[in-house]
Amino acid sequence: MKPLFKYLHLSLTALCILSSSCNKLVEIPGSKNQIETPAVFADSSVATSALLGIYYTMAGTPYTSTKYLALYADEYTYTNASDPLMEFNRSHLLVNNSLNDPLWGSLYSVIYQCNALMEGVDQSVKLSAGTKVQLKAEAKFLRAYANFYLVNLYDHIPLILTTEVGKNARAVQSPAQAVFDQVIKDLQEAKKELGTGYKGSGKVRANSWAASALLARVYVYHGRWADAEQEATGVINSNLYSPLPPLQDVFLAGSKEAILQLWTPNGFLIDAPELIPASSEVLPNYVLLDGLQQTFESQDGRKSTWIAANTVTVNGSSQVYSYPSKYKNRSAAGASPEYIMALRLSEQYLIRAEAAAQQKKIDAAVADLNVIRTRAGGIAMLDNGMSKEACLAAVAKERRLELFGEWGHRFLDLKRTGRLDTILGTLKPTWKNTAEAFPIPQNEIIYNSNLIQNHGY
Amino acid sequence: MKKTIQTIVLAALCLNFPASAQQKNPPPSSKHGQVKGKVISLKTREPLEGAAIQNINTALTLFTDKQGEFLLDLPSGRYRLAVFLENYQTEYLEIRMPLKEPLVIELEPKDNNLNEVQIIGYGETTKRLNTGSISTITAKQIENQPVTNVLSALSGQMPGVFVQTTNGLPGGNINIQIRGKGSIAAGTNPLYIIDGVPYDGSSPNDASSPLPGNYIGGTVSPLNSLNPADIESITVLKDADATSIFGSRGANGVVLISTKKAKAGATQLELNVQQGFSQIAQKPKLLNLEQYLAIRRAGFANDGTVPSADPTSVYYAPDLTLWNQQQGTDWTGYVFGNTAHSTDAQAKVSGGTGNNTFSLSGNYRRENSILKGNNLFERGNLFSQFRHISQGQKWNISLSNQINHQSNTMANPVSSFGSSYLLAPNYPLQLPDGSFNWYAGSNILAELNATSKMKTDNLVTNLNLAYRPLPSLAFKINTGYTKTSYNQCLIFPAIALAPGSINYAQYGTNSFESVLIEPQVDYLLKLRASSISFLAGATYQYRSSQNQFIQASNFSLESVMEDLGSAATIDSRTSAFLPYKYASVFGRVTYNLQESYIFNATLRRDGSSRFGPGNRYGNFGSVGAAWIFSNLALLKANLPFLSYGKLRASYGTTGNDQIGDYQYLSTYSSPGTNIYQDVAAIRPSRINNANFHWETTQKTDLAIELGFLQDRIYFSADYYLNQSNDQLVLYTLPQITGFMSYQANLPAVIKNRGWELSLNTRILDQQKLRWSATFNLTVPTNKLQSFEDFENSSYAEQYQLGYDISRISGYKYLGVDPNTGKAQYAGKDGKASDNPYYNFTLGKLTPDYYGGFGNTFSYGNVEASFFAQFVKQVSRGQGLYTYPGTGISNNYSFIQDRIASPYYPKPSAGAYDVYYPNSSLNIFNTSYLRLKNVSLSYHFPERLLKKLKAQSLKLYAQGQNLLTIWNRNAAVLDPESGVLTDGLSHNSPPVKSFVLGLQLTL
Repeated sequence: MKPLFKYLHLSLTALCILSSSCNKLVEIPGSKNQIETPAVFADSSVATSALLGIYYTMAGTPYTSTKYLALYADEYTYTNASDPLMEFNRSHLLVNNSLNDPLWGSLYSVIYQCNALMEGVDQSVKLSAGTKVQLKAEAKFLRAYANFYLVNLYDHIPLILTTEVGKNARAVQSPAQAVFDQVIKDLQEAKKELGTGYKGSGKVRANSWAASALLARVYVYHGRWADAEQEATGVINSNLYSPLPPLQDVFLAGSKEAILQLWTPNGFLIDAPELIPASSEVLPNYVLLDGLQQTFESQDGRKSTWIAANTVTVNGSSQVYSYPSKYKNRSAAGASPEYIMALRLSEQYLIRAEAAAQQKKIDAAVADLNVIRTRAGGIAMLDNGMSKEACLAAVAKERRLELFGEWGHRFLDLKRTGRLDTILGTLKPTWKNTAEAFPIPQNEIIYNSNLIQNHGY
Repeated sequence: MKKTIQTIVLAALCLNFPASAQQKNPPPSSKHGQVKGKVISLKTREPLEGAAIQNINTALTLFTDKQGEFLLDLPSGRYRLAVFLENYQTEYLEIRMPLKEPLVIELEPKDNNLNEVQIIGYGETTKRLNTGSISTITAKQIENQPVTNVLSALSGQMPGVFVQTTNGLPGGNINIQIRGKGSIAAGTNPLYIIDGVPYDGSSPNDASSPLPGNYIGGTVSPLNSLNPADIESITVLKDADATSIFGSRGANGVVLISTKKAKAGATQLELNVQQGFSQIAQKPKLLNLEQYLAIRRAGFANDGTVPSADPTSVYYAPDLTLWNQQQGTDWTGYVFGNTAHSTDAQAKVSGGTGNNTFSLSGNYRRENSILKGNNLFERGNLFSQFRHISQGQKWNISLSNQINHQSNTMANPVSSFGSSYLLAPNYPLQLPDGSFNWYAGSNILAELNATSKMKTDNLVTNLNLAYRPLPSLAFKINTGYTKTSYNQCLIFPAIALAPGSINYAQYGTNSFESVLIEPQVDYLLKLRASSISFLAGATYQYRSSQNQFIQASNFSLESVMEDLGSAATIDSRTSAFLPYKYASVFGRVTYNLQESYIFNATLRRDGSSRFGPGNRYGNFGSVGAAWIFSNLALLKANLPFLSYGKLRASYGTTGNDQIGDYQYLSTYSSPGTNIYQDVAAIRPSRINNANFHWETTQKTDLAIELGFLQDRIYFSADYYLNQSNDQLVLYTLPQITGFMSYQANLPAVIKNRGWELSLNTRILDQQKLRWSATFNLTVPTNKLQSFEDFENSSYAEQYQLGYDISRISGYKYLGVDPNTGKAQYAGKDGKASDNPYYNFTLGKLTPDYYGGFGNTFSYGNVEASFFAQFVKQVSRGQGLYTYPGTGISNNYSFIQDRIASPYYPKPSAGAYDVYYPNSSLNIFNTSYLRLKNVSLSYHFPERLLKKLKAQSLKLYAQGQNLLTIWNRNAAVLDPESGVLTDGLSHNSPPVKSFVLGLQLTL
């Protein structure tokens, strides 16, 4: 019996030694499809790829076609029976709307990536000083871009500036002003640190003019008219983006007036197949509301170039339905690719016109409006001798026409000028004045009880 | 325990060799003492043929003839004999040669199943001596059920094991939960072990690829690959005593699957063919067209609005203004209305002489599905097994090999699937001009043109080698190699998509290989009145998986969409390589005193590569004890009806490492379409957490087992308490953190407690007439015991301290506001509010109790059995968006009663009462009793068999899910399956099937 115990004892001991002291048994090789974070920031081309990842996320956010916001405002109506989309159509979102969730989440994903990039760059010892500045400046621009939309849609948002999960998971909402201050700070720094040229091909990475252009928009939202005018003037006078191209070229890749576009892999927008009907007989999914169409003067070139229509026959009677047609590619386009237009010169003219009108520089405002109207074609120039109010109304109308269906301009304009109740209240039976802010997605509040739901939800 | 194993080995070795053995029988010689012997059954007194009589002193074996007789020819002296026969208790006796009179040996039949072999982790024992909580079903119970996935056969059969057929499609997923939900989010799959080798329980198309979300079959159960007919038994290990030997992987219970072993005997051929058909088990009661339209019209009338035919109008109602007002469609019947046919053919050759046995079996199964469209599931298996036991039992070698191929082709109407049965009854699939109507956002008829093709190949090879230098000492090595490759292609031609969409296809592959090496040492120490057995072993496992996913679009030729080269655009592509290593040492000591007191202790140390350096090793262990008090002389004398009584208790720890690989590492990776500005783009892969560590589950089990009247009545009751700490979860995060979750330990304690009762009786047990019945019941409770800093955690709103973690939360309905006629829901303070509070506790998904009962009758050649499963539970109603009247979708017919009652609001076309689906009004009692299985079989008589020169011929009929009793006034499709579409999982309801088969053994 004794030798047996010995055997047993020996083998057990051997096994124990084998397994517990030899960590190699459970050591696995590095991943083949993942790059460890320190390695990302050890090389400028890999670090640049991490930056492009942020642009890629930005381009994939539901904002890029902003069809939801066009439904929510008075631009489009939806003709099918999708519940979450109909909530946008009714301007009555539920706290658990399944489209509101990614709207919020994708922008915070952009912010996380910006913060991660800035932290990674700061910790890097291998990247050159110049690369560090460039990468961080673009990240600041992107963070500002995301925060700008978040705060305008949701009013009360947490300001996230680090990647610390423990802290962020419990973050509280910041006053809107604090968010705007951060947006302005980020943009001012980006403007200072970025060059005027574009990195890489096309105009799909922010330069300092992109920072200026967004800054001009932020200022005009906040009534800082002189600042807005100054930033917009800078962009306009750079002469990089003018003269305004013909209407049919505005949304093409590399468009003359583009200050920043977001790259599309195949030359068309992800939403295009949904927005543009497949054939000329079918009912479009998104139909332009009559009110918007009727605002166009009958010969306005934008009406014929940026709006298309289908004639649909149901039970023998024909009906014409218009749909947005700023972007025309609905599948891969080799010859004339379209990129997502993020910032363009026309808006800068409109910003400057509004800022000028507010400062009672009516002539300057009218001149800027007329730049837009000239390009539009088919419509008369405005006269100089109008009141401030009339001029502001003209700016608002021109903004509505020029920027329809883009990035929620209409909704945000109505909101910042306090006209939501009047306009949407009459149009939509389910409108409530609290709908001017979207609900914080319900899951966010469930998972972070420090967040407070917006009023009315 | 070792004795038992030895017995089994010998029994298997010596069985059924009358012919060959008798040749070995030396001719009678007058020099020696000769004695004639006879082996008979203790019960029937009939002679037993083929019993092995082994002379333990010389290891010489001989066998009884047809009359049960043998001739012993030995020199004078004392001998020890052992007599073995399958299904009989081994008998040991001592004789002194020469014998004066003939020897009569009585063998006790083993229909007393307490002495049956009980498979446990890394070994075997008997039900009598077992110290853990274990349930088993055998081939017989599996054979009675015409199931595709063997897990389905467990439904209701075992206490503490909750099996839910969440998907009735062939190849669909089956949920199995052993003793409650211990973990909030990490894998709750039990550990599957096939013949000693772990089998990956995670689905080959799990969340790592987007395919299952886009495929109506949802996630695929890996156990589909097994052919139920090749399985000898399935054993579920529940408590710490049974599972701790599997250490880190035992927290969710362990399922041991053992395949049918090759048996010696004349080579025989067994053929089994069956043919069946299936239909949907249960249809929900929905409104017909007339009822539906009446509610819709009332909705508009109550609002004072007029339905419009203009699609841009707020009051657009094509169901009232444009569509057919006379004729409706039963959409449940339309979508799930196919009669599915199944064919299953099985052939097995087995046999072997002496110490070498083999078996070879092949299976082909083909079935289509109840779903509309062309669907075909095919499975082929080839299972081979070879065993060798050397003379004197020093070597025991067993090699088995399973090759399996599955193909599943289906129409894939995925976007219409979830809501399909609740379409408005007059919804036209086609418009007057012949085009498809996509108003609802989906169109099942168009979408039937989308297809899914899936292929799974599986190879499982096991080699068990045992060397036994002494009868009490064995060295074993268990090695296994598993390879699974899975390949799926989803094709969406333009016609299957909303008008104008661009055609696309998705291709996914996933393959994994796993190698296992497990050396073990067994030693049995026999003392005077007791025995101690030792087991020591080690495990090394390496698994690597590799997956790829590609989405391509814009195919100019739709006929070749399986060809990636024909795509104009590649939308997205990802690939991953995931290695996993696992190493452990383990040991067990079992002390058996006088076959009455048994103590058992196990220890395991595990290391896993899934944890960050520094957190990789964990220790697990258990102690268990059993006292067979019925062996007390006092009880034997005073309680003669009590034939068996045992108390057992165990306590121990287990763990869980079902988490992703590399989760501790901070990395960047490609998001799929990894290009921006024609340059590769990368993004952070996750929020990493370098600190997560092993979770532990402490399991306590107390049980009593009682047998009455020679164990004809067997009763057992278990009380269990499982306490899970530091569960590894994908800790939910608000999206403001940049991600929706990250890998972490949950600082919580979750308690699963419950009672498990089971009763087995042999009511009639005569030669010709037999009747047995079984019953089991489980009463589970689940509770979130504690949670560190609960108020500030992501779970503060989802869970409640002290309440079940399967909590259902939602709005609380308070009746109709008498002034407005609208529904009122409670605010946080409980009073009616315009901003109702969403987080009232409305119920829990954990069943109050569940169980099953069955009866088996046999009379002569006829056998009949049935088995039913029952669950007491509540569910949330499915598929609704608003209160009826609003929106163009159908509703359940009980809604008519609600509308008629003043307690509920009147229908409104424009009210959008969206709280309703998430409110207390949408919680239903979905308790059910389901006749899971009915089977009837007839064995053809001996006379006919002789004519056919066959050994046996059986004709059988089986039915599955034939009847369900439940309250059909609930807003669910089927009480057993989950919602049709829930994130990644798509679940078809269970089917009822009827099968006719013939089994022939030559």
